[in-house]
Amino acid sequence: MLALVIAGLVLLPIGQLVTGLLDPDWTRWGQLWATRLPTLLENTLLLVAGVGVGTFLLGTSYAWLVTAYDFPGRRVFEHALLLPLAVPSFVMGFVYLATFDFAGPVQRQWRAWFGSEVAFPNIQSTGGVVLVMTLVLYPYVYILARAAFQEQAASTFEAARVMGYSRLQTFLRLVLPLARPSLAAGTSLAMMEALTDYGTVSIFSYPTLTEQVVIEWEGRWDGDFAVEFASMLLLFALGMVVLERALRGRAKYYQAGGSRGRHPSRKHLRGGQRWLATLLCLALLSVAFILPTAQLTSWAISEMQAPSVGDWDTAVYTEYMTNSVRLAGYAAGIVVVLALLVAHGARATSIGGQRPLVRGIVRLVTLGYALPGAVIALGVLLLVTPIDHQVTDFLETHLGRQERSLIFTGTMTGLLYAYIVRFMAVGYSSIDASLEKIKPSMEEAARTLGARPWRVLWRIHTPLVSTGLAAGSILIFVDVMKELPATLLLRPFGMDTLALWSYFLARESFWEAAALPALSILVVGLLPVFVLMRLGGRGLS
Amino acid sequence: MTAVIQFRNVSKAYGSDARAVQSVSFSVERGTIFALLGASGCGKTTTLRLIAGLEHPDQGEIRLDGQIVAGKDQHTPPEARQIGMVFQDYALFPHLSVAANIGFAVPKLSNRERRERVETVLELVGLPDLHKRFPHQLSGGQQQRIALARALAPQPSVVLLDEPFSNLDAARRRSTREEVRSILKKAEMTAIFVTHDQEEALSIADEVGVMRGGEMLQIGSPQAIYLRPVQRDVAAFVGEANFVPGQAHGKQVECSLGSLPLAVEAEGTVDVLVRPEMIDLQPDPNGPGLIEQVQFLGYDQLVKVRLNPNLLLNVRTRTWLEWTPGMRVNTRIRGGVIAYPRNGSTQPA
Repeated sequence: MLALVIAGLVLLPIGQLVTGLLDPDWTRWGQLWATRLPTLLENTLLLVAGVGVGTFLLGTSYAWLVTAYDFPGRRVFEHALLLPLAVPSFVMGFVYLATFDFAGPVQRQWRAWFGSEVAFPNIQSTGGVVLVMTLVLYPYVYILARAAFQEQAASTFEAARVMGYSRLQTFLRLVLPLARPSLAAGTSLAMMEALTDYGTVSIFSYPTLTEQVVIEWEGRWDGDFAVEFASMLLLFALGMVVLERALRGRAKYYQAGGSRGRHPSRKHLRGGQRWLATLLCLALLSVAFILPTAQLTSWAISEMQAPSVGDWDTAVYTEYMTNSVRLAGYAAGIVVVLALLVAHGARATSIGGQRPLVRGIVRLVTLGYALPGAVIALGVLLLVTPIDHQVTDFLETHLGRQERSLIFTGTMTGLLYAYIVRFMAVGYSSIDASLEKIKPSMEEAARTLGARPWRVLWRIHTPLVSTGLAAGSILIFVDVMKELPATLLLRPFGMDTLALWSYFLARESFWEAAALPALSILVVGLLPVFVLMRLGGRGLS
Repeated sequence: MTAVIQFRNVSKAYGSDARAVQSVSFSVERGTIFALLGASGCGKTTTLRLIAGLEHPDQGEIRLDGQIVAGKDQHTPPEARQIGMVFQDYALFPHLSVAANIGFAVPKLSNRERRERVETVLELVGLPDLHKRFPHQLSGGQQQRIALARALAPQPSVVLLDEPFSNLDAARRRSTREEVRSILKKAEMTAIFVTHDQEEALSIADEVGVMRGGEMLQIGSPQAIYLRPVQRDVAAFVGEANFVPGQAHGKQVECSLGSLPLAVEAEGTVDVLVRPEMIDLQPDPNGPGLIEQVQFLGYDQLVKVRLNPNLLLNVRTRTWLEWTPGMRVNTRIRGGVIAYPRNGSTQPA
């Protein structure tokens, strides 16, 4: 029951948005269709599709390269290729923009060499946004693909080789299809990230549906219409979830025993080939991590020596840092506890029955991850604003208090609520995955030994899923550190975070000033990457 | 009343499947080791889980120590039943040490009492020095005995064991099951265990219940189950069986093995149960039997003897007797035999 209550609370703000579909303002939709909407749709679809294709190709091919071949530096690259995961996409976005923009160093050099007649490809284009997001998001595919390839039984691979298939043929005809559930999961994650992205597209002035939600709301042209608009994105999100299921096909491909012990032997590359492989890895890592980080570092150093925006103030930095860490810490803690209760309450057991309905409802809590933060923020606002007003009115009339202290929108509560809705999926998936691995006999044994269900949860299940709990909370922590749109719409007055600070500066092209907070987020973001390196992708799907 | 467990017409079905347990009734006396024997899917594990409270019966009534724990509108959860259970995979908690695993079973004791209890049960299962180890540091046999110690720690009224020896290798199995029996006897514990291995059931249990298709076919001592099975099916499942057609007249039965004494009286057209080890062979160039095949098994050998075109007998003999295919033999039956009416499942009279 508790699981259902929590799931209900998480779904409530999303449900609020559905009301936006009931009575559409057709005049506004007509205007929008005549003006921006076709572009928004086209841009969004191109972005999501482009990122899908890009991350699939990069992630899968590099995962195969490090799994099937041996070359100098492979052990290092195998892990290092995950590093771009730590870079918030809007940060990658502004670094690329600053570097390749008309006024940037690359184009200046270009003009110096070729004159201003020879056009340089415009970075502020569909291609540019897709490139930047692909570089940040390919690790989602890479890590799941690598885990899937490694889990495949050597015997399967060897059987195909013995039948006369080449390494490449085996890869295309056997390894890829077998890894389909993981590849689908990774690619859909990347596509959802692209759909829900706000920071990158707004910095690139690349209008998408997600960005339009914020504009509709921030512009305050029409609050109701913003909700209607957001509810349309709800349909997109549902579409993504359905697509993911369809791509996944049969959820699991079982491997006959012995898959753990032995992996297919790696082919040792020789001569030029081996250095080519090394070079390929180094190239990707450079453009996706090393160069952007180096650029950020150099900006941050020059900013601290000679501030470009106002005076350097440690107190301000500390304040933003504290805000970010507090929000992220609270959100991670709350989400993980709620996710544990939900996943635990909904799991199928012999004692409690199969509960397919509860499980179905509870699965919906993962929907939040497919929704842009701005959409969730609107749902939360729609839900809590009336409550806030009721409470303040009550206080005014009955207690004669004059100050309008808003319990949700005036404090972190509303924002935390949005984070919970948005990132519940992250916590739920990592915990549910660990829970499913616990044999039912564990609970049965504990129960026959006299333990009540709560004691079983506390003494048996919680310790056994501690890895999942840790992985989930770190991932959520970093996701919140990077979060922009929900924070933008719901933060209490005067409360800024590192991400917002960096974003505001970057939007005004103060690259140097934006670099320090960006770098701080990036460093914190390395934490989960190290965790993932150790888990090898098991906590992500 | 000393019955620790009583089943009265208990039925349980899963989904739309055939009934897993069909109107089963039996009771187990205090201090008895009771084996539920049957092939996989016969309902024996479901029966065990019904006792533990891990399943609800659809019909019928289960009593533990005289108290109704499952019945109409009544379901005592597993944690309130005071039973111990040893799972097929042992279900030791991997994150807890041996002492903590056992201590988990007795949370209400003071620390000192708990330590003492842990010592006592570890002593009982013969592994007094392992309390600091973790489950993954134990061998299969040790894990099994720790699981047993954990089940015994709260001094339950009954211990349930689900296929307790199936995860052990063949060499270990025989010695472990003797140990388990002696531990249970030393603790004066009532125990019910589930097995598909008839040798296991016959050798450890004081009483055996044979199940098939969710029904309890026969309950009795190992000797009764083996020597006087009430049904052909029980006879065929418990041990190897030859069925020889014959005509029964009260205490005698006429068949191709001659006129044999019946252990239980019968009349009419019957199938006669002859266990392979009940048959003695004598070399006889004019004997009715022809040896077709000999399988040497080490401690004994299995000889297939053709008596007539429709009857091939399995015979087990000692290995010092040398038999070769093509030899002609005479047969002699030791002891009384059991006869089952042809085309019917009613019990022999």
